[in-house]
Amino acid sequence: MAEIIAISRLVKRYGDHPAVQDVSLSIEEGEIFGLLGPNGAGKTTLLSVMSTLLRPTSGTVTVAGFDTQREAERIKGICGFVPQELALYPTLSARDNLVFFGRIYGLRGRRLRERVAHALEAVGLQDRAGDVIDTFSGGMKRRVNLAAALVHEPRILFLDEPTVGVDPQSRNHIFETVERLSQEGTTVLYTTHYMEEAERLCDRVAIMDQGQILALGTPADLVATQGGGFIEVGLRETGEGIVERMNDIPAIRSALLSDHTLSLRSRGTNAALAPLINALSAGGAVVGSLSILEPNLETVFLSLTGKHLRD
Amino acid sequence: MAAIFASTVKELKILSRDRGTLIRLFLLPVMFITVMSLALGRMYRRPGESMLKLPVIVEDVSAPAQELVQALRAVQGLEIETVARGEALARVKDGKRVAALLVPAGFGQALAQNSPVTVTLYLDPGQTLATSALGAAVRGALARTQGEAMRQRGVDGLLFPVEQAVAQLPPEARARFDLKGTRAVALARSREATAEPIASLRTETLGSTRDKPPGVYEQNVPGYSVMFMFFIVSYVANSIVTEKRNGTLRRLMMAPVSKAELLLGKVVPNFIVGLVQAGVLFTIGHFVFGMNLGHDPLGLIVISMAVAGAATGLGILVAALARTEEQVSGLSTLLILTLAALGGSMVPLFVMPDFMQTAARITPHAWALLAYQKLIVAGGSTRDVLPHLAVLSGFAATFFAVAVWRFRFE
Repeated sequence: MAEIIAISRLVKRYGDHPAVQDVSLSIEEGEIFGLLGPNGAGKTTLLSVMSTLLRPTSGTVTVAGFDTQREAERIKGICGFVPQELALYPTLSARDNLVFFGRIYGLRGRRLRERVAHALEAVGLQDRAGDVIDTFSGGMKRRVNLAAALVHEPRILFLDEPTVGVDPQSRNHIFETVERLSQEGTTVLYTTHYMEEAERLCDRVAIMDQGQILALGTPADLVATQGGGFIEVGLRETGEGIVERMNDIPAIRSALLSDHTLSLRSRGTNAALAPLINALSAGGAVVGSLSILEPNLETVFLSLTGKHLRD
Repeated sequence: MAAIFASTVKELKILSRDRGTLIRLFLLPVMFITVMSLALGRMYRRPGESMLKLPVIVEDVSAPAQELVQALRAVQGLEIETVARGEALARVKDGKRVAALLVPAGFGQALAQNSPVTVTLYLDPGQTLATSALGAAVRGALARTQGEAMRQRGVDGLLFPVEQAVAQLPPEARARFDLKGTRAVALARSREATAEPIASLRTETLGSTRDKPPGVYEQNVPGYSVMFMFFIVSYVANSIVTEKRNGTLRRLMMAPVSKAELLLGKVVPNFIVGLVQAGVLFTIGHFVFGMNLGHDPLGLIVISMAVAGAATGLGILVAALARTEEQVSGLSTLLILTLAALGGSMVPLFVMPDFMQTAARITPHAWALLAYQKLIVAGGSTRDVLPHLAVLSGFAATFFAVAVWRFRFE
C-alpha cells in the first residue's frame, strides 16, 4: 500500500507547553489508523496539524504528497474532518446542514442532492433528514456530525473521538460506516480513548501519551508484546521491599509501584498468582484488592505508562 | 437562613463576573441619564433660570434706547446681549438664537418728537413658540419706554414749566391762575400719546441656513429604523461567537474556503437583512403614518445600504473584540443604545445643544439621520447626501478593517 500521510519530526508547542513532541509517522492509504491515548495526550493536536488547521512548530507533514503549510488548500479539498464537538447548526435540519457543508466544498445541483442523500443513508438517518438537529438524540447528532464530513467524498477522513456520549446503537452505526468507508478505499484517522474501539476498528494503532508515540503496530502485535496479561494489586500497606520481591518471581516480567497500586506484567497470570500471593504475605503487605486484567490495549497502555487510559 | 445567605453570596459572585449584565444594570442607565439630560436639558429649565438669549442691536445712543434695553433686561427669563448687527443676524440664521432685536438710529429723537419709529425683531421661522413669547416681552418693554417719553412730553413739557412760572408770581397774582385747565390738557396729551404708539414693532423672518426641522414621523421613522438596523450588531456578533464555540467555524476552516469568504459569508446575509429592515420600516412609515419619502428613492437606497454596511461591520468588530457570548451581549447592547441615544435616534438632533450636536457626529446614526432628513424633509437629491454617504461608508470600511485585523479564527 502507498503512503498517504507522512509526518516527520513533528513538534507542536503552545507557548512553553509541548502538545506534540518529535513525532514521526507514516500512514498508508486505505487503512484505519487509530490514535489511542488519554485526554490531553496530543491526539487532537496531531490530527489538527494533519488537517492543516494548526501549523507545526517544527517538522513537516505531507498529505497525499502536499505540504500542509504550503499547499493547505489542496489538502482541505480531499479531507473530511469530524470534530469532537457537535459542529452543526442546531436550528437547521439534518439535510440543510449537509447541503450547506456540501456547497462549501463546491458541490452543486444534482450531484449535491445525490451526495447529501448518500451521506444521510450512510449514517442511517434518511428518514429524519428533514428534522431539526435540536430534536435529535445525542447519538443521532453524532451521526449527522459524521455525515457532514462525508458529503464531499473525502479521500481521507479524520475522526476526533466520534463516539463520546453515544448510545450503543449509534456507536455501532458509526463503526459500520467507518468500516464501509474503509472498504471503499477511504483512509481513516481515528482518535479515541476507548481501547475497545481501537481494537475493533483499527488496522494499526499508535499509543500516545504526553505528546509522544509510545508504541505503534497492529492491535494484535501490540497485545502480543504484553504476553501473559496484567495483575493489579491495591495495597492498604505496602510492606517492605515489595517491588524487589515481585521481580524475584519468574512468572512476573516487571513490577511498578505507584502510590498504593502495584502493577505487574506477567508471563502468564495463572503461573504468577500463587507465588505473588506468597510474596505479598511474606513482605507484610496488606492487600485491599487484586484484579487480573487479560492482555489488551488497555494493559499495553498501563504497562507503558503505569496509568489507565481513563484516569 | 444559612442557605439563603449562601445562595445570595453565590449569586452576587456570579453576577459580579457577568460583565454583560453589569453593563446593562449599571452602565446603561448612567449612559441614558447622561446623554438624555444633556440632549434635552433645555426642555426642563425652571422659571428664573436664563431661558432665552436675545441679541439686541442698539444703533441709537439716546436715553430712550438705553431705557428700552433696561426694560428688556428686567423681563424674567430673558438674557440680553448687545451685539453688532451682522453677528446678531448670523446667530439667528445658524439657529443659535431664536431672534434678534434692532433698535434703529434716531429711536430716541423720534420718541421725543412724537414721530413714528419702527423696532425690528428678526425671527427664526422654526421657533414660533419661543418667538411669540419674545414678541410679547419686547412689546411690553417698548410700551414702557414710550410711556415714559410721553409722560415727559405731557407733564414735563407743559405742566411743569407752567407751574414753575406761576410759582414765581406774587401770591395775589397766583390766585388769578387756575391751572386745572392746563393739567387737563397735559393729561390729555399724555393719554393721546400713549394711546397711539409711535414706536411700533415689526417682525421679520430670516431665511435660516439650517434645514427645516423634521416632523414627528420624519424624525421617528428614520430615527428608530437606524437604531434597530444596528440591532443586527448583536445578532452578527453572537452568531460568529456561537460558531466559534460549537465548532462549526473550525469545521469551515478545514474546508477549502478562505477566511475572507468565511467573513463575507457572515456579512452578506446580514447586510441584506438590514436593507430589508429599512425597506419595510420606510414603507410602513409612508403608507401607515403618511411620512413623506422625498423625491429621490436612489438616495434613500444608497444611504440605507451604507447604514446596513456600517451596522454589519460593527457586528463583525464586536465579534472580533469579544470572546464570550456574555461579552458580546454586553458590548453590543452598550453600543446599540449609546450610539442611538447620542446619534439622534431617540432625541432629535435639532433640539440638542450645540456641543451635543457636534458630539453626535462621531456616530454613524447622526450622519444617517441628517442624510435621511435632507432627502425626505428638505427634498434633497442623492447629490446632496454624497458627503453623508462618504462618511457612512468610511464608518463601514473602518469597522471592517479593524475587525479583520483583530479577528481570531481560533
